[in-house]
Amino acid sequence: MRWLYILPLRLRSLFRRAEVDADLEDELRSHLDHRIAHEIAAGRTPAEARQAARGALFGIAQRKEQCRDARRTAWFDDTVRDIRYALRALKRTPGFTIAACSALALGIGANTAVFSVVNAILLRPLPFHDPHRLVLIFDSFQQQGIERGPASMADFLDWRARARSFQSIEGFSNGSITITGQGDAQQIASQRVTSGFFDALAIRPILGRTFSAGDDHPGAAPTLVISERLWLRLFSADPAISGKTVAVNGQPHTILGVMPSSFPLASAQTEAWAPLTLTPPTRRGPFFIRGVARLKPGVSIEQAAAEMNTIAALVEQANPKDYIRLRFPLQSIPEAIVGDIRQLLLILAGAVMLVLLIAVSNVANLLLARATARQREIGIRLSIGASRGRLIRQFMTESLLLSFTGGAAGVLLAYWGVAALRTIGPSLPRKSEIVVDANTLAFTLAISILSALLFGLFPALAASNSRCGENLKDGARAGESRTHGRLRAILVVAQITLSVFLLIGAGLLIRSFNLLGRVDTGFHAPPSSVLTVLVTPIGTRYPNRDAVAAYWRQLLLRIQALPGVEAATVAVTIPPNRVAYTDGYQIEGKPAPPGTEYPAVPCPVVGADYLKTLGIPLLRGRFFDSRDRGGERDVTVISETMARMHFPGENPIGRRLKHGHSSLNNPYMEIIGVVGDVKYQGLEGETPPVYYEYAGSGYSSVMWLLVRAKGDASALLPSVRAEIRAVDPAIPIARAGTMAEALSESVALPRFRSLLMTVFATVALLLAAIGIYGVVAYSVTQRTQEIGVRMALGASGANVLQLVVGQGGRLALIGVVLGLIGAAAVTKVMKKLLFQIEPADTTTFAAAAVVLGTVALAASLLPALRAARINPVVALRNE
Amino acid sequence: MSKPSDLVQGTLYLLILKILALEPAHGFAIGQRLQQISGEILHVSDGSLYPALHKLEQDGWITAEWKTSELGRRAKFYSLTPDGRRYLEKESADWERLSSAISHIIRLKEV
Repeated sequence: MRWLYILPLRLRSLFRRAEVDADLEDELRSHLDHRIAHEIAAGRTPAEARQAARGALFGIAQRKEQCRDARRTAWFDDTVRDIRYALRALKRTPGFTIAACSALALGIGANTAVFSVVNAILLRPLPFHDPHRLVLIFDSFQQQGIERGPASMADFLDWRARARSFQSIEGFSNGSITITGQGDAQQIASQRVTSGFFDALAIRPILGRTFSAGDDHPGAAPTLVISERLWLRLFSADPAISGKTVAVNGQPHTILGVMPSSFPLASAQTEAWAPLTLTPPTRRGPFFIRGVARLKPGVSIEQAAAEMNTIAALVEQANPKDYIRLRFPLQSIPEAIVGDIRQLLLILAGAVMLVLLIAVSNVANLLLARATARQREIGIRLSIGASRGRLIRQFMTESLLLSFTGGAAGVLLAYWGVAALRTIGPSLPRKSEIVVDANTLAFTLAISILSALLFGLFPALAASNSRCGENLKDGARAGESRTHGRLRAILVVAQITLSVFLLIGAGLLIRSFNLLGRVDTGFHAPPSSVLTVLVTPIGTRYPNRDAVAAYWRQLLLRIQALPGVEAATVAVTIPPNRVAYTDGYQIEGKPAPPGTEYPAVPCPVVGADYLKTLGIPLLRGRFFDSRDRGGERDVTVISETMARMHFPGENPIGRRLKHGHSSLNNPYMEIIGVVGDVKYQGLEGETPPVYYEYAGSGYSSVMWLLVRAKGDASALLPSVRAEIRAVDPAIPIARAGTMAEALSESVALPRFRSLLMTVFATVALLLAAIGIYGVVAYSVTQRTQEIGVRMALGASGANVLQLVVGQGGRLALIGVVLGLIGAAAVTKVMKKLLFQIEPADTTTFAAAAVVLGTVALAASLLPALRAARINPVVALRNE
Repeated sequence: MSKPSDLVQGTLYLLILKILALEPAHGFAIGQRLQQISGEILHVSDGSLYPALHKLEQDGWITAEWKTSELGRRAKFYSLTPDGRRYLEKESADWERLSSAISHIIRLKEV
């Protein structure tokens, strides 16, 4: 209640100060008038009355001040005064101010940017209801090295029939569909989902409805749910879209509703959802369904996992021919979505924290130097009555001003950084959600204040501690106390130590990235001369394999006839990482050890000119040609690694192998050749044994068209596109680009992280250099006289140089040694990010030490040269 | 008790609130009334009233308003706020407990 009275008074005191003061004057004058009237009424003359009144109000000035104090706005006035004073002080030393603000802007900006990424990916809740209760369910075939693979329809139905831990189990599978009749034919990334999928995730459509029970039964009317983006793109945001039909793969489908454009279980490209039809399976394959389920209340993920393992054992018992050591592992949805990126983000967050710490210790260092220079001012203020608390408050105001200015600039840097990350950065989960938002700004504010406390408090305490008398003594030099000097040296050592950490971190990533760039891809065609386009002959015009094969043969003939084309072929799997599928294999006469299977490996189906197009060497025998066309997959070509693994010292030509599990009755294929190894599982990935099949005996509806150009392949793209359209304008094409682009894209994440770490390390190095320079330069100024004496006594310029550089060198040496020891303990966390090198890579450690040593020497050399040029006569006369 | 500094600060506040509880008044009148009521025992110097008044006002116990005084001059009249009235009751009760305790102690016979 009384706040209703207090608040207007406070506001008035703050913002209408003149009015309030005039009011006080009026009130006192009114008092005087009444007193005079009173005295006259008591029988005095007006003159006497006035004198008495004035006497009674003796000390009126003090009273006024007391009245003002009653307004309790002194803290505000003091703050305003402190800020004004701080601004003046900072303006007087622009060099210091700019240095401190820039250091803080870099430190705080980097933290803000990384925080906005961490916030979007790790902290902000997923758009599902209670995402931690949602799990994905997989098939795991340890024998074939498949940790979390899709399940078969039979497995999925077994889960539904037996599992009791879940409210419901839904399934989804990624694929693509072709939509015709809406302009050009469109190939669209899609998902097939069971009818309860959206309900299990608790995602609502923005228009219409999603699937209802029964839509996934065999024979149900074909239905489709589209994404908001597709709705805008193909249907011009038609508000009456629900109920309309559209041709999907040549068949009319009814559109039920519109879903939000992306949610984390669908890839960013997914634009349509169709029902995953629950056709009763005739066998335990193929494997294409991923399960998603919500845990029942009170059931933990561990309990559910235990139940699923029991079910896996039962399924395996019932189907001993199909499964060996089957498991149905679970993974929580947040874990599945964030996955491996968490570790990288935490490492980056740690790295930027180090950068901020270096910036903070740098500013603390500058402030200590500044406090020393201001000892006289501090002395004067203490001797005219400023309390220590008041002085500390003044210093902290300056620190906060610096920090907030740095923080504001940092937010700008972060805005640019985040914008750049979103446009040119690698693909990251939830990338579209990365923004500088209110949470980020709150974080920035918090670290700005924390930084100000860290770098400001100690110098403020140290500075205000000086006894006033001493600093005012005549002739007292602005001498740095020994503790200040030691403290600054410790801060510099800390900066160097932390810089070593960052340099080594960056060095390890750079070396990994360089090694990655030097990986032999296995193909020798210049990557920029190879064009890759995903072509999909699907639809009513391609009802069977013959029609598809005819399409490919016609297209290849036309492409090969184009001017500028050296060779053209097709493949389902292409380097560096576009593996369409993997499969197990059996070698005739060389079975895997009892109870085990050979692992699933890439088995590319390729055209006859595959080797010529990519420049892959033929090591033995021959490659596919027209002779092999008629046969039903009866020949194969194996990779060098497979030949070495299974036929050491033997000639594999003429031996036979076959697809799949040992229990399957697949036909054997004769090995006709051995080719060089090619990277199919990413440059970072292993080089597994590979066996090729001939496309000529089995073209697929989804294949890459590979075109080797005589020059730059991207120039060929328009004419290749024209040929594809000329054969059949209804065929969608996608992902057109050069092999060089694919290679670059495949290492986007390693490139991104090594780039970021390099930026952080560079900033750290720069700050550390400034720190060393500052301390050494300052001590040269302090020791001018001493150096003068030494030179007068015969020390040479070289001696002085050695003296001064030695000082910086000592600090650097301590810092580097501490840094190397610390880094050796810490870099283990980066093991997963490294390629072909160990976390304790000696080359990197040595390079970091050398770089820091050089920078430290250079930073101390400048002041050292100045010291060596000191004229002893001038130096001594100055005293 | 001649100087206001001898008055316990809290006591001055209590007296001012009590006077304002009777009727709204301006600073000079409050001073006069203090003197009258206490039978000239309490003398509060002219200036010392105002810091106390302003503090009470800033605390929200009393509120002020410019009006014309009985002498036909403009004066700032103070009156109790509802919270101020409750505050006065509580403070009076406290004071009575304290003073009766003190009186009780003072009346103890010395052995």
